This record gives sequence, C-alpha cells and structure tokens, in this order.
Amino acid sequence: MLSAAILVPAVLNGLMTGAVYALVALGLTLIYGVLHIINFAHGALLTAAMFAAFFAHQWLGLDPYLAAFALAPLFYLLGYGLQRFVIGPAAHGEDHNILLVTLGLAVVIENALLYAFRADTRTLNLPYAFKVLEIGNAFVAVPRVVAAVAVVAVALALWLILRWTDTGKAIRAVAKEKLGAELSGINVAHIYAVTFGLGTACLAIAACLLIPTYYVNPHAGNAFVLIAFTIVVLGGMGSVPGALLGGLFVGVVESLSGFYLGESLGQIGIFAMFILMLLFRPNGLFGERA
Amino acid sequence: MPEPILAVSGLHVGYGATEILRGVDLSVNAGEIVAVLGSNGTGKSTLNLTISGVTRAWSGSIRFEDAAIERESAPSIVARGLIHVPEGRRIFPNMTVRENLDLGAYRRGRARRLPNSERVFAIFPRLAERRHQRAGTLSGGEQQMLAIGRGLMAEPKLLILDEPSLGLSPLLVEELFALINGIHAEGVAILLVEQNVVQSLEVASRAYILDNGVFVLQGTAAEIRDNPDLKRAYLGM
Amino acid sequence: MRGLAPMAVVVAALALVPLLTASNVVLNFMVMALLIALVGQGWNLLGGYGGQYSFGHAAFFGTGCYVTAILQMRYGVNAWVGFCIGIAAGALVGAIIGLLSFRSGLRGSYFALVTLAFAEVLRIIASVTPITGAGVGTLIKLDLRPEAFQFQSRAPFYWIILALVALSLLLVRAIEHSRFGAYLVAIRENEDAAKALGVDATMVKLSAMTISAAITAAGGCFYAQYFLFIDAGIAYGPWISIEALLAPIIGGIGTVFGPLLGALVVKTLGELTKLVTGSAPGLDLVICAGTCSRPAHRCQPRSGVMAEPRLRVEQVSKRFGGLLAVDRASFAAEAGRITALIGPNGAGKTTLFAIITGFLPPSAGRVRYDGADITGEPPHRLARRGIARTFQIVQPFATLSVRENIAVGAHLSRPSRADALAAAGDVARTVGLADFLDRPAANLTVAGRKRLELARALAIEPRLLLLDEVLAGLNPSEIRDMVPVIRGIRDRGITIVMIEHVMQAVMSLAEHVFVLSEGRIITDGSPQVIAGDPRVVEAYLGRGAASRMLGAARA
Repeated sequence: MLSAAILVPAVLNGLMTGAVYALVALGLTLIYGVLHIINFAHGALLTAAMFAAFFAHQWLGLDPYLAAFALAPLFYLLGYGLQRFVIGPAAHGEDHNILLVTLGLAVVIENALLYAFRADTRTLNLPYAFKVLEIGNAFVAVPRVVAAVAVVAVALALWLILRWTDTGKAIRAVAKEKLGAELSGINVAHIYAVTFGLGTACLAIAACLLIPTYYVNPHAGNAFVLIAFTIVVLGGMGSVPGALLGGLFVGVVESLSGFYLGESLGQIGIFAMFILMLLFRPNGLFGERA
Repeated sequence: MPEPILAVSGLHVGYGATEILRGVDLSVNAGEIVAVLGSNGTGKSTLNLTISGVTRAWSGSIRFEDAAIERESAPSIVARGLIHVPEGRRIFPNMTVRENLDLGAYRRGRARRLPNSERVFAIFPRLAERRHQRAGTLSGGEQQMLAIGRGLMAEPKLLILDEPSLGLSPLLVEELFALINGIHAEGVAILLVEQNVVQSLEVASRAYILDNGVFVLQGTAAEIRDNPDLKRAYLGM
Repeated sequence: MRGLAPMAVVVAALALVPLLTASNVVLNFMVMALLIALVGQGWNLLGGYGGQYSFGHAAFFGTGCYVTAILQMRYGVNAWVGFCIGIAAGALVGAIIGLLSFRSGLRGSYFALVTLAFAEVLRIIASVTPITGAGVGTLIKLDLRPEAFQFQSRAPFYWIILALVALSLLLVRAIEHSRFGAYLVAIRENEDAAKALGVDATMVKLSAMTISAAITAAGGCFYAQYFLFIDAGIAYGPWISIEALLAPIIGGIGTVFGPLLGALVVKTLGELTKLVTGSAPGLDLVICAGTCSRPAHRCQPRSGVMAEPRLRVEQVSKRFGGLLAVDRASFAAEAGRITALIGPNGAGKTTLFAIITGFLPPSAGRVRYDGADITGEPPHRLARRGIARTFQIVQPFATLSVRENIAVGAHLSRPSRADALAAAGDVARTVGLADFLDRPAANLTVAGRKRLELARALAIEPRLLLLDEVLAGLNPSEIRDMVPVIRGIRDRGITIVMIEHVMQAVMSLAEHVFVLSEGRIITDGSPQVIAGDPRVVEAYLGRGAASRMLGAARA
C-alpha cells in the first residue's frame, strides 16, 4: 500500500489541492493579521466568486484563467467596498460585533445566491479539464498544475507588495500599531479596506483556479472555509508563509487520509487536526501571539 | 502680535454619554513651548487626540495656521505639519528603526525622507547604531526616542508631545527635557502635555492646568512656578 | 421577589394562546418561536452573561435530537426517559467541549471557531454513521399517545415547550442573583481581574457551558418529538447555531427575557421575509450588530492582596527565550510593613509581580508566603490564601456598579449575594467611595478607579496586598489624598508590597525599599539610604531627581 507509485501521485495531487487551499487561507490570514478579525464571510465570498467565474464562462465565454484577470480587480473593489462601507461602520471596532457582522454577511450572501441561482449544482465542461501531465511516474491534471503555479505567483506578488511598496509597509504598520499609524498620516480605514480587498481578490483568483475541476452551488465555499481556518491556525494567524506551507501540508494530509480512509473521514481528519491545533497550539507553527 | 499657530476655542469632547472636555480654550504661538498639566482622566490625552483629528469634537473650533481643522481627518492634519507623538510611544514593533522613521514621512516630507532620517540619527546617536534593528526589541527609552524621531520626520510646525516622560527612569527624563529644548531651538512650536510638573515648567514659556475637563489656571510658567498658593491649590506641592 | 411577577404574567398570558386560537399555523409558529427562545436562552447564559460567544450550539441541540430518537427507536426506551437522557447527553457534550476549550484558555474568536469545528465534526459523523441513519436520517415512529410523548393536537406540545421556557427563565434569573452569576459576569468583563479576586474562571465557564448545553439539548429533544424526523443537517446544521445566537442578540443579550423577545421578533421577521423572498435571516444580524453594540469596556481591577506576615521571594529567575528578565531576585516583606520595589523601566518589576501573583511561572526560584511554598499557584488560589494584587492598567468591571464591582471580591468568603453587596458598602467607605456605590464603575475618574481597585482587593480580606504602580496617572493632590488611604490599610495589619515610580510616595510611605535593575536586586534599605546610594543614583535616579527626593524627605 505504501508503494511509491501510489504515494507519489497522492502527494502530488495533495500539493496541488493544497496550493489552492493555501490561496484561500492567504486571504483569510491577511485579513486577520491586519484587521484582527476572523472573516466568517470568507466562504460565502468564495462561493460568490465561483458563481462569478462560472457565469463569466456561461455568458461571456471567458475562460476561467483569463477571467481571473478581470475578476481579481472586481472582487478587490467588492472587498474594499464591503470593509469600508459595511463591516467597518457596522462593527464600531468591537470584537463581538465584528464576529456577528461577518457572520451576518455570510448568511446574506448565501441566501442571495440561493435565491438567485437555486440550490442546483453546476459544473463547467472545459476541454482541458481532463488533460493530464506526466511528471515522473505520476499523472497530474493540467488544471491543477496551472493552479499551483498561479498560487506561487500570487503569493510572491503579495510578498513583494507587502515588503517593498509604501502601501505594503503601511499595511504592516497598521497591523501592529493602529494609533501610531494614524498619527503618522496613514488612513487606517483605507488600509483596512485595501487589505480586505486583497483578501477577496485572492478568493477571486482561487475561484477561477478551482472552477475547471470543481462544482459550484450556494454552499460550495463553505467546504473550503473550515479548511482555510484550519490552515490559518496551523500556519499561524497573520503569517503569510504559514498559510502557504500550512495549505500544502493540509492538502497532502487530506489526499493521503482520503486515499486510505475514504472521502468523508478524510474531512474529519482535518477538523480533528483543527481542533487539536486550537487547543494546544493556537499560535500555530509560524504565528504571532494569538 | 502674530496669530497663534494653534488656536482652540470652546472645545467640548466626550465618549458615549460622558463629557471629558467641558469647554476648553488654548493657544500656542509659533516657536513657543506650552505645557498642559494635570493628571490622567482630566482629559489631556483626549485634548491631544482631538486636536490631531483622531477623535471628533462635539463642538468648538480648532484652528491651525488660521485654517479650521476640527472636521479634518488625522492624515490631513498630519499633512499640514501638526504632528502628535502619542502617549505610550506607539512605534511599529515589527519594523526596523529605519522603516519606522520612513513611515513618519508617509504623508508629509516624503521627498526629503533620506536627509531627514540622517538628521534624526544625528540627534539620536543610539538610534543610528540600531537603524536595522526591529523596533520591538528596543528599550523603553529608545522607543520613546524613536517615537519622537518619527514625529520629526514629518517636518512638524507644531509638535504635540503626549506624556513623553511616562514610564522613563528619572535619568532618561532629564535627557528627554534637554532634547525638548533642542527641538525648540530649531523653531518648532511644542505643546507639551505632561504630569511631570517641575521639569515641564522649566522648559515651557506658558502653561495651562487641566482639571476635570476645564482649564482651571493658565499663565506664564514663571507665574505658576513662583506662586506658592497657586501651586499648592492646583498642583499639590 | 420582585422580578417574578412580570415573569408569571408573561407565562400566564402565553399559556392562554392555545385557548384563544385553534389555528395550527399560529400554534406551529408559536411552538417554533418558543423552541428558539429556549435554545437562545441556553446560548444567552454562556454568551450573554458569560461573554463566551459560541458559534456551534448545534452540537448540543443535535445531541439532544439524536439521543432521544435513537434511544426510542433502537432501544425501546420510553420517550420521556429518553428526553431526560438526551438533556444529560447534551450537557455531557457541553462539558467535554468546555473542558477542552477552557483548559486551553480559548477565548473570543478562537472559542467561536472551535465550537464551530466541533459542531461540524458531529454533523459529518452523524451523516455517515449507521446508528444515526447516515444520509437518510432518523424517523421516530408515529405513536400518538402521551406516554410516547406524542399528542393528537399541538396544544400539549405548546404547553410543554412553554413550561421548559418558563423553567429556563427561572433558572437564568436565579443565576443572575447568585454568586455564580456575579462571577460569570465578572469573567465576561475582565477575566484576569476576576481570577485575582478568587474566581476559578475555568470552573465557572465550564459550569455555564454545561448548563447552557443542557438547556439547548432540551430544545433538541423536544424538536425530535415534535417533528418526528431529523437528519445530520437538521440536528447539527448551522441554522440552529445561528438561531441560537440571533434570538438573544436581537432581544437583549445578557438579560432574562432577551431570548424570548428576540425569538418572537426573529420568527416574525422570518415569516414576513418568507412572504417576500425565500428567506434572508442574515440581514437581521448585520443590522442588529450595527445598532445593538454594547460598550465593551474592559476593566482590570487590581485588588491588592493582603500579605501574610511575611512574603519571601527566593532566587527567582525568569527567562523569556534569550532574555533573562529576572535574575535570581530575592527579597522579603515584613509583616505589617510597607515594602517598596523600585527600579528603571524594564528592570523586571512587573514580571516579578506576575510571578508572585501566579500569572506567570518562574524559570527558577521559590515564592513563600508565611513560610508555605506558593510558587506557581494560580491566582484564584492565591486569593483564597489571602494574597491580593492590583493591576497596572486600571479597568473596573465596566457595566457593573461600584458596589457590584467590590462585591465580586466580597463573594470570596460570602456565598450570599445580599451579604456580599452589604460588605461591599463597608469596604467602599474605607476607601472613600461611599458616595459612588451605585454609580456605574465606568464613570469614575482615574483616581476613583484606583480606589476601586483597592476596594476590590480589600474586599477579599487579604493579608498581603501587592500594589502595581497604584499612583501612576494621579496628579500631586490626588497622590497626597491616596497616601493616607494606603497607610490606613497598613495600619489595619495588612502587609503591603508596592511597585512605584512616584518617588514622592516611596519616600513618604515605604519603610523598606528594594531596588531592581536589569532583573537583579542591586541594593535595599530605608528610603533615605537608597536615595544616597551612588549605584542607585547613577543607574536610575539621575543626579537631579536624587536631590529632589532628599529635599522632599526632609520637608
């Protein structure tokens, strides 16, 4: 059972899936690291992005990989607007309120999607969805390889933005010391909104990477959210490298346990790990103090 | 008589239902050091945060260089050259000393970031030694220097210093007040908000005493310093 | 008993509903509303009173559903017995999740996340295991006899759920007026301060969670009996977790009637929106959060603990990674005296205090209290020994009155609410807060809050009191007023150890001074001797301040 011929593809597939998980988690950890809120609306926003990618293909004939270039800025603006004009004002900065506002947003978005598109599950049929690449002895689906490469590119771009641009430095400053930032002339509400927008832009890209091989319905995003939370906690709340490595790790764990234990129990494995992390190491492996 | 660089009039500020400042008038002239004394809870920090635009006043006017700023946001007030160095240092612990200083010039003075940071390093040699060190690992006194240095990066016309001596050992406090004199000598107006009465009155030309949200006393530092009755009644000395 | 009359009126009025209408639609609506009220009351105990927001109350509801159904259908257990066992099972699940979460110190968003995860895990398990019917769900066989907890008409169901709601109202009200309730609210406002007053926070939260789970599970058991069909999505789905928190939040979080009120509002809104669109309950959450914000003051009262006749710190060291914050520090506080600990910022004073008061374990060394080794004992146990402390950043339990704040400390030796409140009044008088007893603590000035810190600490009747910069932030006249209060505490036989920066106070109050610098005790002696010691002058006092200190001492 442990032969390389079986293990290697399982691990490779896990890494590919994990890469997309990582991108979803990246947005979440960025939002937490800067705004210090756990965005319970993350899953619903991912679902919305998946619908957007789906209909971009259905109605405009746009290939998802191309649609990403349009949807990313679009969802950046959506995220910016949500934080600037809905979440920020409604929450008054109180922790408990923010929990409720993002939860409420999730319910509203899901119900809106349910109302507009019913509960049907849809899939895209793309010509290259089933093409495979041969890597060594393993066959890996082309969309997955594309996804992995794209995720690395996005992560790199994010890192560069945060490290070298003035806005990126302002984001890192606001994350740690809000009053000091404000008195240095940084517009904190704007920075919060920019960060949230970056997080939702990540979701839009992730959605476009998922759509070729995944289904879409109003609850699709939820499956990813708890996994994303697990990754974020594993890698450390607010840690970008943590989210990446955590994502890959979880992807591999899921792939292997799903392989040996069956689909549904694979999921439980992840949640069990999540609970254990929360109980014993909420700081995660790379994280800052919770 | 030139217009004061900062003129506050009839300021009422509060949080929720509680009024903290109950009608406050204050002015600072260009190049002057003015001290505001009084304990915490009387409204000193509220006063500073309202002037610098972080908190919105309930009513009253704030004029800086003859422009009304009571409705302006904190970043745009920074752009005008009114710089507030907050209580408790509030530096960015995850960034280097150099990055902290650069962020001080985020909104104002960005073009002259490089020469200005060199000037700050000249004033604070200890910071120069640590320019690539993460600010979170600096000692309390060094962080206070960094906070003031960050404020200086914005080329302030008026510098508000909020309890800079809090938590510093008496030795560092003496260094601090020497520094304040030095900044003043460069022509920057300073609003010094402090609990440390003795040394504040030594550097300031005028002082206000805040008690329970109103100024109960104001005058030249000399008047307050030398009048034993006033001192006993309001400063407990 | 004041509050009981309105409760009786409301319950009586609601009991009349089946007599006023025969409409099944109305009755069904009311039954669901009361069910949500019950589940919401369960959430309210933990979330509203306790301040721990759970997003996974479905875990308890679903357990109630399934245990009731499975016991009846697979083991032939009587429905009523199954009902009771279902409640117990839900309580057990609550206790387990609570134990795991609170022992690990989970709070806030992390706690919300872990409850969410637990509910999800249970949902997945329920959707695959055969005993719950896996994907198909579980049916309870139709058997319209009262013995089988099923009735021909809806009215009996209605009265039963109403009775459960009434019981939950009584229970929550009783808790509100008990020591347990006072402790629960104190934890919500400021857990560290509560611990320093002797509150075993983990046990209190765990108890609240267990009771909360039991109430919610009762709702689940009822649901199964009423609808006769459940599956994983119904039993453990997010819908019930959301309803559980919506009702109290909309109706008034942390109040007895909040969940009932909120449930009626939510259900009504739900019906109205169903008429217009599918359903959009989430809108309520967003609106509500915007308008129903509670001022979240975080109060950290610091109580001074009365010291035992002697406190002895022996060679205590504390290492944080590469940093040695405290290096073999030793000092002793004589019984009935005021001992001061001074030193530059970052010298390690607060770390040392945290070690002595049980908030931080030392890397090495011992702490002795009256000779007994108390190293590493948690704060609430130290409080019971008679050690109290104040915190550097003063924050009272903001939503409580001054009297209620002090009562939390008084409860340590007084289980009765009335006794504690009365004792609080006495303590308030000794620190000069008698005029403020029934005002909200949040309205106090800084000087007032410092006195409240003292009062709270004194209320636990300590023998050792540890003051952490209690004079910081006070103006000179306030300091002058506070000094006799502190001296008065010493005169009552309480040993005091104080960290201070305000030299004026050290000179006039302290009988013995220890100087801490860079983690080490460099010298000790009377205040005058310390001021003249050249090592101290150089490292810490600076020449100007030293002569001022000596001048004041002579004055």
